[in-house]
Amino acid sequence: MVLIDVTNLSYRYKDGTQALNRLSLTISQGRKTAILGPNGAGKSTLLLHLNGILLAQEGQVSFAGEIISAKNEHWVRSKVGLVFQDPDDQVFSTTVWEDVAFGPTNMGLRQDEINERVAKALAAVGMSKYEKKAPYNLSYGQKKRVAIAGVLAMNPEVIILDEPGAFLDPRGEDDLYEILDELNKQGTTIIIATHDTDLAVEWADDLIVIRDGQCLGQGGPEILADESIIEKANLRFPVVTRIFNQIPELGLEKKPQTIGDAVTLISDLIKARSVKNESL
Amino acid sequence: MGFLAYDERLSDTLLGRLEVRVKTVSIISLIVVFSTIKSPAALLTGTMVLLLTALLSGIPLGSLIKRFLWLVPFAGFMIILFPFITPGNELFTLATPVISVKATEEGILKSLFLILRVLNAAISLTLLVVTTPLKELLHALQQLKVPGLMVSLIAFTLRYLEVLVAETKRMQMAKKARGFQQGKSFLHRHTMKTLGLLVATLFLRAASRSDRIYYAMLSRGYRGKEICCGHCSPKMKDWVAGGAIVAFGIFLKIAEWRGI
Repeated sequence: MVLIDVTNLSYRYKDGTQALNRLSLTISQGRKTAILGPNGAGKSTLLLHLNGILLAQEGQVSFAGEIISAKNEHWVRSKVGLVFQDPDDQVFSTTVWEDVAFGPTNMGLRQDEINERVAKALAAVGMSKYEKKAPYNLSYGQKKRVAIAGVLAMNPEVIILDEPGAFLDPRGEDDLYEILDELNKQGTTIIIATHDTDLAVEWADDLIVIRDGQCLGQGGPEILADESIIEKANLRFPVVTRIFNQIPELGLEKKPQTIGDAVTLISDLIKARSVKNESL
Repeated sequence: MGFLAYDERLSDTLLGRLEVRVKTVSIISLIVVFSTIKSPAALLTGTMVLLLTALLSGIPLGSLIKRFLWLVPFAGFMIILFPFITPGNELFTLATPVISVKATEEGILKSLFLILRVLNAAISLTLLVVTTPLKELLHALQQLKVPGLMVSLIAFTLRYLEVLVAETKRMQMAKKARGFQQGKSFLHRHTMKTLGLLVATLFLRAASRSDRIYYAMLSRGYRGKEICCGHCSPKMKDWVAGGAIVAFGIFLKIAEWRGI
């Protein structure tokens, strides 16, 4: 089921930069979607539209069938949570608890419900014991978790993350995707914006490739096997595909994209070779 | 920002237990009174009583002095300068190969006033912030009808000071990495130009960050007004303690009028 529908969306900043140019795409409910594109493709501008912070200058963005406008932007913000790239932009309160409570407080909830939501959100990201800490005493990974908890506490249907891996070490990144997978299992639609094709093919169910504010392609991870899309988007093939591109002797029509695909293929090749050796 | 940090161990002291709004109003009133006192004896009495209160509250003297260090760049310059720029009876002359300057009695007295006033204000403020969690202090200011914008400015300044300091350090390190050497005088043109650019870049980055922070606030339902949780009403003992703090200030003022 389509949850977010973007149709012919255009947006021009005051300095004249055309960030989005008749962009159209759809995002399905309950899926993990990666929006891929190089720097300056318009990813962040698009995300701000999905959360109702920026409103369409031309075209429209719909959430659950409702066109996002000034009339319903606050409702949209309670349904679509946005986690910014730099947690220092988002986590601004003087204590972790207070920051996570910011969204629910703005929603006008009762104090006992706010407390309950904050405790639950902090537990979900493993930050309960830091609730009294000042954000500037936390590591980037911890601040990122707090930023996610701040969004989770609003009980959104969709969580959007702009460059989620930025500022995180590999372990921190793995932990983050574990949290996102868990949230997705519980029914939350997750959208990430990234230029990391390896991450996109490994993690996402659906991919959307954009460049210069236009959609170049939308589909499953297989769209990143399309050389023309990769070229146009100024991206590069996932590293696994690049390895197999270096071995044309294998004569593979469809190159593997993920580590899992590669392992399966290599195992099959080893098995086939063993069978061949045995038959000789 | 250690100088503004709340010390949880002090939560059970007399000041720690005092209702935040009463405490804020009474301590700020005291600071206002200190700023109007012109008698060194009254100011000195104030300093002694405040220091005693700090010690009785369990704040070690060393930690108290450390919390004042941030004042040095602000007040220190004027304290050093006053004896030499205030006209009056000459006390001594400071002669250097380049310039010789005369220190006056009136100037030294002016410096002494400034030291005592700043010290009293700083100890009072320290007593307020070390015994009150920042969150509660900001909420109290809001409830005392301090404009929301001002409360937000205080909160954001405290929150982002560390980020800006870290950013400045990174920029300074990047300058050093490209061979920048600071000149030994303020007149060194390249140093001044580089420092000017650093400050300008810092302002631009802060402005761009403030846009992103605002977007982040909007995305979590901010509608231009901070919503905060309520406070308990002050009890009789709070009014009595707050009244005692204000009364102390009034006592010093009366003592000054009477020429004690």
